[in-house]
Amino acid sequence: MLLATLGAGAWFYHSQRQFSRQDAGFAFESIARLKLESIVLWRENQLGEAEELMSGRFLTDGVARWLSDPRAESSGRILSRLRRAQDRYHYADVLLVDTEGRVRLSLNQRTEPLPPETLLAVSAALREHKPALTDLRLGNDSVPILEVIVPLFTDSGSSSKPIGAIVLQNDARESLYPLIQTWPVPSRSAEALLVRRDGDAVLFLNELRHRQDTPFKLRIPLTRTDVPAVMAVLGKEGLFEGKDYRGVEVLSVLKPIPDSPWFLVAKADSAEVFAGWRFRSFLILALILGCIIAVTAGIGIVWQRNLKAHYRTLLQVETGRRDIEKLYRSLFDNMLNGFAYCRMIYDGDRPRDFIYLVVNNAFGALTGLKDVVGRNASEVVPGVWERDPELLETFDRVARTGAPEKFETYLESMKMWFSVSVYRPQEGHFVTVFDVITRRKQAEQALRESEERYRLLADNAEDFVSLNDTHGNPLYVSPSFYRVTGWTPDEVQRTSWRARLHPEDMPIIEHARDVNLAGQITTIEHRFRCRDGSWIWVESRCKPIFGSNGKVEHLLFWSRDITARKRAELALRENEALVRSITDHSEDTIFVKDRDSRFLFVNPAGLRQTGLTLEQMLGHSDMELNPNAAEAAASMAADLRVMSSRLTETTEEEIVLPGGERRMLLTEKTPRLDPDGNVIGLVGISRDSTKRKRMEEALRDSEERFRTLYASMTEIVALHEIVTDAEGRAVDYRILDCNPAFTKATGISRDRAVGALASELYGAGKVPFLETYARVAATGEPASFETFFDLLSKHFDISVFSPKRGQFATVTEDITKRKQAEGRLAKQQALLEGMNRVLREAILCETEKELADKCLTVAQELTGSQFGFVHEVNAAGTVDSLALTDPGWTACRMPQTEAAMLLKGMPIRGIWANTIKLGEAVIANDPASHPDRVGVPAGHPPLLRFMGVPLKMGEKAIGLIGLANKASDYDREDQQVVESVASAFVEALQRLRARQQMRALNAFLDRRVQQRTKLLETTNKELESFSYSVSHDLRAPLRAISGFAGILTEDHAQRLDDEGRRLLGTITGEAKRMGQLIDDLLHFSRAGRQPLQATEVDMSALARTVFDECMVQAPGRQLRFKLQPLPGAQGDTAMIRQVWANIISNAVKYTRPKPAAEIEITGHAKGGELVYCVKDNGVGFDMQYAQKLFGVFQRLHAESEFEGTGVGLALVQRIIHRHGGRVWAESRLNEGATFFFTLPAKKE
Amino acid sequence: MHGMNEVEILLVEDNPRDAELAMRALQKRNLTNKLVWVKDGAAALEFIFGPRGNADSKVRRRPKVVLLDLKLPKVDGMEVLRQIKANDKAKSIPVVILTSSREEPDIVQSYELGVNSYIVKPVSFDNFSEAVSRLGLYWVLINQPPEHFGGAPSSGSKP
Repeated sequence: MLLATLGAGAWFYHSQRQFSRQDAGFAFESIARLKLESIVLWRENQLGEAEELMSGRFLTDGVARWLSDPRAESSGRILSRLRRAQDRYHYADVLLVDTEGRVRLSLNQRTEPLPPETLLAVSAALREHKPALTDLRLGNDSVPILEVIVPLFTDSGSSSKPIGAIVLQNDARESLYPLIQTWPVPSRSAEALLVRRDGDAVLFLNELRHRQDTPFKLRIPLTRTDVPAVMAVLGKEGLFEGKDYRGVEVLSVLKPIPDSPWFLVAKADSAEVFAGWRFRSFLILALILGCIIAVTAGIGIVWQRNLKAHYRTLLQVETGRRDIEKLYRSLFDNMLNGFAYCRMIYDGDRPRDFIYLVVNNAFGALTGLKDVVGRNASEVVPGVWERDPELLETFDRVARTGAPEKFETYLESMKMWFSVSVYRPQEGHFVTVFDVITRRKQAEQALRESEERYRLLADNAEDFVSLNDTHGNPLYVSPSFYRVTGWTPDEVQRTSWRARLHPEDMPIIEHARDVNLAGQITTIEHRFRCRDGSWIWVESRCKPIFGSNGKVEHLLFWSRDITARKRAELALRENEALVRSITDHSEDTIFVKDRDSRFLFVNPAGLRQTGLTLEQMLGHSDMELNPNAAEAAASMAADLRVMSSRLTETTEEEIVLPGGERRMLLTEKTPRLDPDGNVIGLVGISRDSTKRKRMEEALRDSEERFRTLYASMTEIVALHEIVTDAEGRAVDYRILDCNPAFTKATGISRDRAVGALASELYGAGKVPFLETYARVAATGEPASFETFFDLLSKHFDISVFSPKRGQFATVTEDITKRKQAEGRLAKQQALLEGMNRVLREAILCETEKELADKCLTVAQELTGSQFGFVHEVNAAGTVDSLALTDPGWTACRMPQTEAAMLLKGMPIRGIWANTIKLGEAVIANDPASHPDRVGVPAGHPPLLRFMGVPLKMGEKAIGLIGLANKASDYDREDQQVVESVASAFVEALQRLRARQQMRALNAFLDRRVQQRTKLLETTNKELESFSYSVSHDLRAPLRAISGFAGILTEDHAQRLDDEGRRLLGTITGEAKRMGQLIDDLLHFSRAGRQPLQATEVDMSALARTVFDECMVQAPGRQLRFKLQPLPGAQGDTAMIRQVWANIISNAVKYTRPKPAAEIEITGHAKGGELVYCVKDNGVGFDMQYAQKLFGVFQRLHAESEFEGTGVGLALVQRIIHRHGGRVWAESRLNEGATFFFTLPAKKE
Repeated sequence: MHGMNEVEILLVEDNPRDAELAMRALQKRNLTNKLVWVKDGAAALEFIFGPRGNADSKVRRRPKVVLLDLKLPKVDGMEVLRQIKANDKAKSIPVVILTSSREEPDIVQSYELGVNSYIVKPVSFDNFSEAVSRLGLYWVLINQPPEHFGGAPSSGSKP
């Protein structure tokens, strides 16, 4: 018994504790839920406001105009609209940004750029065409800011273009935090926290009760899983015990806040929560003790007393419950939102009413309803169900299904707008948490109503009346007509009524009149022309007025301006066409379903996807159409969910196309409501997200590629972390990661490198480039530099950047090869420069000494030597100095003449001798200890370092360039430079010598030419005097012979017999012939010597004259002479005349035997020559002697046959040759001859 | 022998054959009575201007014509011509070159110096005789020299 009592006691104790904890939990749960609701409501209100701003065309258009041209539109109107928004919701600031996110206007005149997270939100809002909320962030002056982004577009519909956005900045301390921080019941420790995950920690967003200055500063690592805030961000939801940020035991409720990264933590110290329990537990312990005592007192009494004790305990429990009750009440009463806990009342299955069980203070304050608890809704608000039947339906739905709902509604019965959230705490009950949003809604409503009123007013104002005669001409017209159309009564009187009607409308108007005249009333629509030329549409109702004779006398018209309606009709048609065009061209599947999930509309993309026709699809559901039952069922279930919850749902599912192809479909279904808010079906948009999936895969591939690249790249990549000392100074760095190239280059394995300090890794205490690296890690400014690592004998190019503060990554490239190439290039350039200078300047050198000096200067400058010499091996096998630098002479301390003597015929010995002996360069950087040294002559400047480079002609060393006393040691580089100078020098020396030889040869040739010329002149003179002698002295004896023979004939002829006289005649004849020969010869000789006097020669005239002269010489001859026009020539007229004379006289002479002699002269220009031709039909000649024709004294005929000396044609040839022409002849014996000669054509 | 005043022809010719042939041709026309033959240029100049060193450059004799060969010993014919034509008093004495040379330079130079006629001696006897006799006739009988020089005897030449 005792044991049982003890056991029961223990169980009771435990269950009581559980009970107490549950009670507290329930209270917390409620508070948390309330807070959650308020936060969600607040967020929705923000978005609601944003939507209102977004749809305001006035603001949008104004902003569009102002942004495109700030001068055109005053910013004042925009600012005042923004200020109104600010006033309503107490925004800290309202900004206007353009599509690039640049701040263009600010109520607080702020111009600093927006932070990246806000810019991202702006671009997302513009992309998705809907307002967005940003996360909480810390703005300027540590103000926690939450921004509402209102994207603005030019127009609704498909053609809308983004204009910019309005950014509403909430000061969270003013707006959001109060919702969180107020605690509905008095409590010492309770508070609510707003937290979110930030990397591997949880970040506290609001002010804390127990610690100051925490927003955005306090972080708790996720590893501390006993902290409720940590549990919340890790996804836990509900009631938990744990330790809070102070390390105090707390009881907490955790809730994620929908559509946000936030979590709500409502908590209070366990000590406080369980305070009531402690008292009760004491009682329970006492009770158990009492029980034990009672057991010993007797069973009978025990029962009695036990029972009593039980009731007492129950009483105590009841008391405890009352405490909790009190807690609730205070919770409800202090809420800002209205709260009502109600129970449904059913009539059988049909909901009839509900009864208020609990309401909070805010309920009364918000609704104005008092003393509602325990009363039915229909009593509290009479006629509520007649006016707002949907409300009861909604509450019934929640109470039945338990699915929470949220909506905005206007209650006709109360004339108020509510934002309501309903959930079901238990079967048949519901709780509403609501806010009255009448003010906002009223503002909206008022606007709509005023618009409506205006429209009605306008409509009514435009009616006009006219009374017309039977022909349609007006007798009376109401003033409104004039007002509307702009015509004056005068004008209407003067002109035809018909002229104001539209020609297209005439048939219908005429028809209507016929009907009217038949006594019928008509209503037609037609157009009137206004005074400004525009047309208005009117609906015209005509009633015929009958006269006393029973005939129609007048027509009464009521006309109403329906232009606006006509326009709207047109716009509607256009709008329909637009929607049609959008759905037709959309790549996404767009469909509409009725309440029973049957398709009412499917766009072409949807038909393509299903492979069905519109006729096949319309009126059928997925179940009937889709052969895949599972897919169809899932889709139908989603339809039901959407229609019942009235919430948009997005699903992603894989479907199998008729062809078997698999596609990912992202489908968004939205309930479709009629104007009364009843669900009449849904609209769905389905997008093939396969592409997006593929992109995600591509992204993964790309990441993988980068990883591979990192591993396989030849550049050394390493990530480091700066290590600081106690004062925060960078003292070392640690390798965090490195790629395989690192190991390859340094030989340090990754295992050894990662985690190691640079000072350990790169040699004792040495931390390379610490300063640079620390700067990069601290500032984030990347750097790059080149360096040479002695240890590796390699050049590196190092780029440093900082992936995050305190860390830096190095990308190191081995550029040793490039460096070497650069070095080689520089050397090459120095060599080329040296050679160039020598070769360039060598051209100006006239002597070997000068050349050697120049070359030595270059070699000395390029090597930085103090002095130098150029020696050349002479014929005797010793060397002569060609050049010695001035510093060499200056340094010389012996008389120069003596030194110059020494520099001739030097024996080849000493250090430099090897240069010549071996034909190789000699470098002696320590000549004093050189084995071949022979010392220097007295007065020679001291020799510190020496380099000798041979002057080589082919393989043979013909001398050397010696250089001495460079500031540092001579090296291979110097040697190469001087070798190039030496080869250039030898080249230049050879050239110089060749030039000198050439010059000598030229001088020799000049002398020879002068000698020859002189000789020639002498010869010419001698020849001249010879000719003179011949002409003078040879003729004198001839004349004597001829003369005395003549005297003999004259004076002594009678003393001679016939034979004597014949002989005397022969002597005379021969003497005469001799004279002729001499004359011809002299003539010929002169023709060769006389200078030419070139002038224009008229060849036709000359030939004619010469022919005439010849004919004088041959009296009695009969000749046919033909002279064609001849081209004029340039030449010595006298000589050319001689040519013609000789050729023509020949022709005359050799045609003598012919009875009908003919001579023809022609001429023409041909190929730069003038060809002249003398043709005769004389005796001709045998062509085999043609060569002899032009020789001196050459004759083809006997003297007895044809007289002549054989000089004529030789003379012709000589003259023609002297003129640069040619001469030749063609003939056949006895068939005439043709003589040709040419002269060069005249130069123009 | 003829008086110097009556000299009508001065023949300057070094070749005795040519001189003989010339004089024979002149004789046929009776023109040799007043002919003086000198054998070189120096003699010709002395005949006209008197002995060398006579600085007054007076003309001692004034023949009706001088027949002058070009190729002469001592002073050549061109020089004789030059001196005669360079002297104001003597330049009016007609000088006829009678030579074997038909060299153009000789002809040109002679005319430049002021020769009165240039005759190339023909090789043929007949032609030669014909030429010389015509020449003599022309200058001695047909040609009219200026009066005051003409027959006026030089005072100093009288014995």
